[in-house]
Amino acid sequence: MEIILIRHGQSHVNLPDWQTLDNLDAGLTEKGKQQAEALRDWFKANDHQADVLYTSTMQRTLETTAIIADALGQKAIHDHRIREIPTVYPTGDIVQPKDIPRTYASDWENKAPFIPRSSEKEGYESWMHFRTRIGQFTDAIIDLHFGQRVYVVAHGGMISAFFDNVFNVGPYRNADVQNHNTSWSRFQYRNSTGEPWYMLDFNRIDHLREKDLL
Amino acid sequence: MYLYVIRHGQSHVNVEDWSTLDTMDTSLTNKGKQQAEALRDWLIENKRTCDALYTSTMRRTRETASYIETAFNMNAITDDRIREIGNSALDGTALPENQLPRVYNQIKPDKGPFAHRGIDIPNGESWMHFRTRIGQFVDDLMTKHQGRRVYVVAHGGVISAMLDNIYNAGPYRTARTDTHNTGWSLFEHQNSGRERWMVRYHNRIDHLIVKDLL
Repeated sequence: MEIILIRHGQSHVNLPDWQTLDNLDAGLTEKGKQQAEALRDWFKANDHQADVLYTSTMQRTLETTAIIADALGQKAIHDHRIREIPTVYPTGDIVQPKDIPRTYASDWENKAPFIPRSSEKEGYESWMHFRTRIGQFTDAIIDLHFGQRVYVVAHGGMISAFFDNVFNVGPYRNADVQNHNTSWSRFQYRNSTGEPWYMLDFNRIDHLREKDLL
Repeated sequence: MYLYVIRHGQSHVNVEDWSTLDTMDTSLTNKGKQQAEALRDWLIENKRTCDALYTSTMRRTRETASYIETAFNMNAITDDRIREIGNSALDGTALPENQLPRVYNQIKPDKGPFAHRGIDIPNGESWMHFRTRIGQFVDDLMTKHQGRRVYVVAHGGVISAMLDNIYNAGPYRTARTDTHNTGWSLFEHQNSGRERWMVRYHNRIDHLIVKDLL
């Protein structure tokens, strides 16, 4: 199975004044739309075809997916499990836009992997809760789509958590990964006697360089 | 902080066919009570002291804790977060007694750390959900009881999850631990020095050997 993880285009929550937004489930900026269009054109030019396409259900991923889905030849399956941290409660319920926190816990994953990401209200998920739901999503697509090529439109945090899981990192991690908006990364899952996972591409941004959209 | 973790005495779920049990939250067997008495006597004879005593809210741990309360002349604080794996909901609260799982997934944490453990109930927690609530409990102890001696009466799975966290093991672990009924372990936490955690003892059963209660 090949899984291609795509980060959404630049959205209003990626800009420095994000805490002042009325709605933290914000859509793409103009630049973000151009990035997604560039990726769509690049996928077409390079014959990328998906067997399955998943998208997170947040506004910035839905809008990115709407732009690229045709190029990949698939209608997207919506999946709450790949929303950004901490927009799903540990129970699996979605955090409503008005309850998405504007401040985060002072210690990050490296020091506080079990602590809720925000103390604004009760019940937000921790980094390890987040890794667990990303792990459950990954397990599910291996079951459903073994041998296929699966495209997933998600978030920077989702790709980071996926990375921690695939590389079997402990809770108190020492390294993080960075992804540009609309970058794509490609992992392969094989039924082999060696390591089952291979990372083939990471943070590919050919389409952004060509059109000066970094 | 000196973190002493005690596994409960032998209970009916440890020795009987689960399909014949009225409840999965069973009491101690006669042997289990003798084991707890032996540990109580050993703690008194060895002049052990305790600053805070916690117990899981399951019957086998509460009954075991009642003997430890006598040894330390102190009431135990009950905490749902240290119930055995599978026996809590995803928000960390205790599952009702008539909804506790009886059928566990044959895929164990080494291969399926994100898979639901109890498969006869909806939304059962996975090994990584379990490690997260144990991590939250231990984080909390470190905040409240720095430099103190804390005793925790819990379950074999809890001790195993604590070790995974302390050793920063990834989700797909390659080692597991076993603990005898009423066996105790000591993990020491320091804020200074090199590694913050030190495993001092694991599965101490002096009290069982003396009285032939293994």
